[in-house]
Amino acid sequence: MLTFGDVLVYAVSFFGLYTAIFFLLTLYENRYQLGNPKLKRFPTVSIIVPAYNEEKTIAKTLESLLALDYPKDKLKILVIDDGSKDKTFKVAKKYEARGVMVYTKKNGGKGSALNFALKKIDTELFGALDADSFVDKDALKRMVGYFENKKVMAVTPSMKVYSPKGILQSIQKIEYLFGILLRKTFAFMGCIHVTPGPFTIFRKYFFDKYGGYDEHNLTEDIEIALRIQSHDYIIENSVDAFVYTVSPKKFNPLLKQRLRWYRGFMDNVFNYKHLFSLKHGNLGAFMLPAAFISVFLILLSGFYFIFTFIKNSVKFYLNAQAVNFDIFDLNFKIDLFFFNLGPIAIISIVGIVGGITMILLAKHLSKEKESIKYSYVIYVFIYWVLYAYWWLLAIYYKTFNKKLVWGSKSL
Amino acid sequence: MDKTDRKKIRITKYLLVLFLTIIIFSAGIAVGSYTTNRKFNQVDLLEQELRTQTLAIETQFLILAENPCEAINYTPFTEELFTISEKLGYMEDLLGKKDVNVLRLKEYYSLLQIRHWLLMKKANSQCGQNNILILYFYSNLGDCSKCEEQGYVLTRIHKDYENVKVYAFDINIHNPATDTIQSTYIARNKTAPILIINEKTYYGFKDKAEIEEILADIQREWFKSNN
Repeated sequence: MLTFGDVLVYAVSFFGLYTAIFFLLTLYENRYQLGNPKLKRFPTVSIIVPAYNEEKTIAKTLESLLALDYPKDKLKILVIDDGSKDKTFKVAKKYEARGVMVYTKKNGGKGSALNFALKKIDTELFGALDADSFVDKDALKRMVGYFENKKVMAVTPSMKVYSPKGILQSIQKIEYLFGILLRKTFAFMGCIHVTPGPFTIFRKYFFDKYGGYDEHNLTEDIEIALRIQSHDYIIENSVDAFVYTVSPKKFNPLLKQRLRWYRGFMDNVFNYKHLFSLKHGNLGAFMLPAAFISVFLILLSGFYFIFTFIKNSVKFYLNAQAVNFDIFDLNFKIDLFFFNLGPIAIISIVGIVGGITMILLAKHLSKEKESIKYSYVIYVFIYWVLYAYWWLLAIYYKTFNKKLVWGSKSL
Repeated sequence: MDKTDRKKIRITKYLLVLFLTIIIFSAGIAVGSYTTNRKFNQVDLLEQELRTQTLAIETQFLILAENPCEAINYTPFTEELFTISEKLGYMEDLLGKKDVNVLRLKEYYSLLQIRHWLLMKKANSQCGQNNILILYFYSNLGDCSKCEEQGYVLTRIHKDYENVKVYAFDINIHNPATDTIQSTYIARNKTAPILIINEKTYYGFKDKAEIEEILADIQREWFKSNN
């Protein structure tokens, strides 16, 4: 007889298999369009660096921007110091001699810093680069060709974790690699719903016509992506335009980041709920519902796993206690009779093979040269637990309307 | 494909993906079910094993009648009985507690245990052996919260004391032989766990120390009467 756990495994496997096949088929259909369009001209571009207390990393960020392989007369770099309490402004000022425009303003959050900069630029395109991120020198050149299509309003880069160390950064490294695969797939399906803060390039026309950033939004990168989608424009992805970001090394900063992302995702999806419609194609019919279904299934699996783990641990403890913990020769019998490769085991093997195929594909697309074996093993065992935990907290924060903070600005 | 067409829902693609998913998913379930079915076939093997053991014990009974004690200087079949009980437990988990094959095997196993118990009793009385025989009645229908712990304790005792033989009976399996034992040793309306140690009945969970105390008493008694 099927137990609740069996039904849950089947449901998760079926859903996972369906989405994985959908993504792989989409990539296969578009296998000859993975490259970037030929560059016909160099449009004018502004890159904004909003910074709040980034004295340690801003110099490296600016150096990477100054090293971009792009005509200097077509590229403007602006630093907006968002009322930092450290020496961010002072460090940035040193770059004025090299053509960087540096401004400072009262703290108001990232959205306000970007709107401040938008008033000062007149280029055809613009992008932002967080002051804890660095860009590959060819990235911009690879991205601007997409804007020859007038319907394209944004081009997203491929993000990687900068110099990952330790367990948490290793997990994020694999997560970002998967992100590269998924973002390209989403682009082919016309349903990118996040334009990452670091180095997404936008057509300024969209902001002139539909307004600037929502300064009260937790995740302005999701809001702007959904706004572009709701006006039926296109968001593209350049799979080899690499941006490196310093990801959180410790548990609490990572938790804080994820709470902001997931809470922001929920807020924005509720605000743009009209996108859940067949009228908005794959995004409304598949991608957004699938995002919610996956969160629901992962939370349900998390609860079931914790419940079963506690129940079995208590049972095991009581049994072991009954024999004064003298148990080591009691239950460990190796006999093929007790080995059965039933349906659940076979489905799990299919899932593992599918997961490995996708990560290898992601590694290939992202041109990652380092070995990811150990990171992947850690990722498989730990990521989903963390993911369920982050989502649970984000839902709690949303339900009870708890405050979250970006920089020093409370939202 | 035109870039503006990307967003469009292509129903054929959704159906193709659904078709492929169902094919792969069904193939996974089919392969898994096939391997499980092969496991079911082991029920027959287990049944054959039980028949062989039963026959062996019957034969020992006859030998014992002809040549008392000489043939039974070793411990017959105890480990085999223990292994069969573990395999039965595994089949029960796999096929379910109400599976007719499992119930038939358990009934058969009960009879085999009773024969073994009778043989050991005879060895004790005729050959002066000091085998301590424990009949353990359990229930796995969710109405005995302490049965699993009791099982652990008895397994520990069985491993630690060479002369202790444990026979486990599902209290819900009924046949004339087990019913006779139940009506002889167990009072009405008593629930599992129940232990019958050398024909004396103990109700409720007994921890390791309590059982060891009972064993020590039996041991003392045996030395007294044999010296």
